[in-house]
This record gives sequence, structure tokens and C-alpha cells, in this order.
Amino acid sequence: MLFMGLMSFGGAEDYSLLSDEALLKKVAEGDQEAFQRLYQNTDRTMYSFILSIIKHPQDAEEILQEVYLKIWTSAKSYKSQGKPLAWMFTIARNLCYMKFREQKHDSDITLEDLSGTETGEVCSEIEMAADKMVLLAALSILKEEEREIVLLHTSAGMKHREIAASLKIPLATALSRYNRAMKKLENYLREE
Amino acid sequence: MALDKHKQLNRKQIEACLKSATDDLIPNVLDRIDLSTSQIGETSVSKPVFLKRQRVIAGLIAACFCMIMLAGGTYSYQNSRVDSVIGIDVNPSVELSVNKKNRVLKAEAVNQDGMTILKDMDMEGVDLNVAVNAIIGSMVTHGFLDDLDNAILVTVSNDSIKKASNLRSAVVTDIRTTLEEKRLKAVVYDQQVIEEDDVKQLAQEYNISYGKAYFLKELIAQNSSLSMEDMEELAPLTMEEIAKVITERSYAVGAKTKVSEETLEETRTSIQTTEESTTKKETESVTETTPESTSAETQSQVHTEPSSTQPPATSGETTAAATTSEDVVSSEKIKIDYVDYENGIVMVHFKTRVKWKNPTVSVKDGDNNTYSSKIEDTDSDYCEISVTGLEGGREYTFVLGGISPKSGKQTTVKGVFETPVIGNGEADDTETEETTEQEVTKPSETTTTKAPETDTTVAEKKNTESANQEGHSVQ
Repeated sequence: MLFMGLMSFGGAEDYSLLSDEALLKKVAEGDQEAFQRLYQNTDRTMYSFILSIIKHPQDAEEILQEVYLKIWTSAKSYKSQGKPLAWMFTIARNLCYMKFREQKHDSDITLEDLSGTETGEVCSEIEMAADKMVLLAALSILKEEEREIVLLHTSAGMKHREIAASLKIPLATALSRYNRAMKKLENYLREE
Repeated sequence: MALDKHKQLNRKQIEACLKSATDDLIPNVLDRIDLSTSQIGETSVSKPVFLKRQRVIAGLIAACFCMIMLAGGTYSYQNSRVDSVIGIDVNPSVELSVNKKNRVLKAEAVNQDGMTILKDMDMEGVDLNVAVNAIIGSMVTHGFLDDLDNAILVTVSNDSIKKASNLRSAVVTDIRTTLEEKRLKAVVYDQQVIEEDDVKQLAQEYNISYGKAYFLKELIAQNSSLSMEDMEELAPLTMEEIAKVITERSYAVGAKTKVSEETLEETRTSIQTTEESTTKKETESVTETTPESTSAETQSQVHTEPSSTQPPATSGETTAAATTSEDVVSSEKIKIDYVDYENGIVMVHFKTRVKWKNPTVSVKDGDNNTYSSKIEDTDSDYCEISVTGLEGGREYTFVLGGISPKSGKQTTVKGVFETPVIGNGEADDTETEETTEQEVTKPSETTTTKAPETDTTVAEKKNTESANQEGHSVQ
């Protein structure tokens, strides 16, 4: 028993040290603990990414749940390429687009939905008004590709190099896009 | 208030705001994820996509491979397939199998002499013209082609008539060029054939080449005086001997056979030497043979020289004393007005307008000796030939090649001229009238007269002329 306990303890220790890649492999084997670890490691990044695409916090939450379920169910199909985030982003992006398609059927959601009178309700979770304003500004004036980079860098805390690798774009592109986006945002907020 | 703050926001602050906003928003959905959901096996989700792609790629690769194999196979098949067979018969008989690109696939000797010719020669993969050149060269080296009468039979076998005819002319040109290089003259018979089983049997029976068998079969078919029994007599003969027989007995060559320029000259001259009989006899023979030649669709060639006033031959100096030979040569459309000879220059004046393309000329005497000749000048109604080594007071024949009427096919024109008798001015006004009719293939009956200087000749001349007019030819 003691041995077993030690083993499991040792295993838990291991998980915190494991890379996302290794965790994903374990997830593929049905390891729930590995999955939890992976979730903890990546939820901020994944949420930022999803939000940058879908722009709606509630939808983003919904999709986040779907994305992790998908990661759990499809982990076996992951081919080790050293870029687990890129794979996860692909899943997230596909689900976001599916959501768009669904919404298109229901009704057209425009930026006004986010920035209009309901804004307060939409982003009620955000305590600081300034934070909310900046986020909404970022979501409304930036292009999707810019939003992805800005949110991944600022919110998820990813390095530009990591972003470039995960989005499969050159580092220079990632950097220039980020700078352009931030300048846009600065100008916009100054005018507001 | 918030707006005021915003105005002062710098990049760092914006980044911080975004981070903080997202922090507030990030939900925890981990508990909501149903981990009891079964995981999808590797094969069921994305592998099929990958596999499908792989399959498509594999399929494409296989298709490409097949295409390459097919193309390569077809290419190599085309290159290794025998497209035409070219037979060359002198006495040595050689057959060259060539592919579409005219590269020799196989060189085969049909008889013992052929083996001698091909000994130590590796023809495989060699261009046809190179091979033909080598074979002719080898024939000369081994003495099968010499300064005397030569005859070469070229047989081209190809399913496509056009291709065969192109090949045929190419080979004949090659042979001619080679012969010219070696300074040799030869009668070149060329024919294009299709494979026939009975001819194959004939060839096997008499142990001769397919081309020769075909040639002889056609010869027999064209001449009623010949029968298949003569095959036994003709088969063992060399082409040179066969050519001699043809000219001596004035056989019509098969309509499918062409005889090139030299042939006309050869046949004609050989007839000149063999038929030294009276004009009367010749006239008869002309009238006799005219219908035959017409039916045989071959060339009839009639040449009579009814009168020639020969001044007494004296000294050996060839002076400017000119002899005029007035030739009236009616080729299909080309008519010679008159021919002058002066100081080694033969001047031919045509009645009709002519065109020239690679003009050739050959000059021979009655004993079939060839003289070095060259075309010096050509015009639409005139040409100038320089000849060396002619004796005075003799009659010579010239054959012009590469000449065609203003509108019509290229043909050959033959004429006769006489050199003046040396050292005596009497020769000046020698006049002869000649009529020559000729076509492309073969002389059916030729008459040549070396008429003695008698009064009877004048009378006989008239006979001959009338006979000649009847002796027209049909191709």
C-alpha cells in the first residue's frame, strides 16, 4: 500500500514537471490526472485564444468546455510534433467557426452586441471598468489575427516566439502584428 | 473619469488591463468536462483523414509510376521495334532493320558475300545513313563495287508508303553520295515493298534476299517473255549481271521500281555497245517494243543517229573546230533545241524552258567509258557542260539530272553530241539529228546507230525518225 501510495505521489510530482506534450500523451492513454494538469497549464491560453476569435465571453466559456472535451476524447489522434498548443488551437479555432456557423443560422451577432447597452451584462465579471473598456476596445477594433496575438501575449502571457510557433507564423510577423495592433489600440483609446 | 484614464494609457497599461480583464473572465470548466466520455481511438478520428490523404498520395504516386512505366515502356518499345527493313543487294545482300528513329537494330547478311561485308562491323544503334555509308564502303573495299558496271538494288519495306518513300530516297541519296565520294558510278534500282508470303517463300527457295526476290518477281510479272522458270537463272546472278540482262534483253522493270539517273545512262550506253546492227533492224525493234513498253508503264528510250558525216580523222589536236550536233530530245516536256561542242565545252540549248535543282551530268562514249564532266552554267533555256578527255570525231552521250520543265516533276534529259575531227576544218558543219524519248524507269528498246557515211543512211534516218515518234513512253 505504502509502495502504491509512494508511486502515486511520485506520479503527481511528475505531472507538474511534465511538458504539455508529455501530458497530452498521458491523456491519450486515458490519464485523467494528466488531463487536469494539462487543463491547469493551458486554460488561460486557450480561453484567451477562444475569446480573441469568438469575442463573446460567454460563448468563449462554452467553447472552452467543448475544446477540452474534444482534447480529452481526441488525444489519441495527436501526432507528436512538439507543438501541442498548435494542435489545441486548431481544435479551438474549428469549434469557434462551428459556433459562428450556428449563430449565423440563429441570428447575426455583431459588435454592437458586445459594445452596446448590454456590455455591462456581457462582461459583468470584469471588476475594473478600465479593464473592461480596454478589452472591449481590443475585441472590437482589432482584426482576428491581431486579437489572437494580443490576447495570447497579454492575457495568456505567452512569449512572441511561442505564439509564432503555435500559430505557425514567422516570429517577425507575430511581432509586427503585435506592435501594429497595440498602436491601433493606443490610438483608439486616446481618441475615446 | 474612466475616459480620462484611458487617454493616459500607455502600452504597458493596456497590456495590464487586458490581462486583468481576462483574468476576471476566465472560467473554470474543468469540473464540467465529462471525463467519463470515452476517448476516440486513433483510427476513428483524425487517422482516417490522414489515411485518406495517404491513400490519395499513394494512389497518385502509383498512377505517376504507372504513367512513367507506360511512357517509358512505350518509348523503349518504339525504339526497339523494327519499323522498316532496308535491303541492299549488289551481290552481297545485306538487310538492315531500323527503328522509327532510323537507328539500326539489326544488320543481317543474306548471303555469304554479305557476311564478308558485315564482318567486324557492329551496326547496332548506328544511324541508318552511317550504316549505309559503311556498307557501301565495305563493298568497295572488298571489290564488289568497282570502276566497271555496278548495280545496286535498294529495297525499303515499311507499312507506311510515305515513310517508305522518304526512307527510300534518303537511302538512295546516301548511296549516291558515298559512290560519288568513291568516284564510282552505279545503276541504283530502288523499290519499296510490302511483305508478301509468296515472295518470302521465293526468297527462301532461291536463298536470296527478300528485296531481290521481289525485284525479280516484279520483273517476271512485267515481262511476258519471262516466266517463273527464269527465276532459277536470274536468282544466282549478281545485281550487276541482272542489270545487264535487263538492258540487253530490254526488259521492263517493275512499275514499283525506280532507276536512278545513272541507270538511264548505264542502260542506254550498254545498249549502245551491244546493239550494233543496221538501222533497219533497229527500227523494226522499236516499233515492236513500243506497245510493250507502254503497257509496262516504264520508260522507253529511243535514240537514233541516222546520219553523221564523219570527216576523216587525222591528227590528235583538239582545236576549236566545232561540230554541231543538233539534238531534238523530247523528254516528257523538255525539248533540246541543239547541242554545240567546242573546246571541251558542251552547250545545250533547250526549246522549252527548264528549271534546275542540284544539276548533275554524266558523259559517256559508245564503249561505256565515262568522262569527267561538270555543269558550268545553267539557265532557263541553256546549260554548259565542261568535259575533259574526249577524243575527236566520236559520238558521246550526256545525261542531265536535276532538271525539270517549268512546271512538272524533276526528270533526266539525255542528248548526244559529237566531237569534231581534229585538224580538219571539214568537221565544222557536221550535223546530226537525234530524237530521244525517255522517262524514268527503264528502256524498253533502245536503238543506237553508228551510221556509216553512206547515202542509205539518210533514207534510213527518216524511217528511224518516224519510228521514234511512235515510240512514246508512259510512266
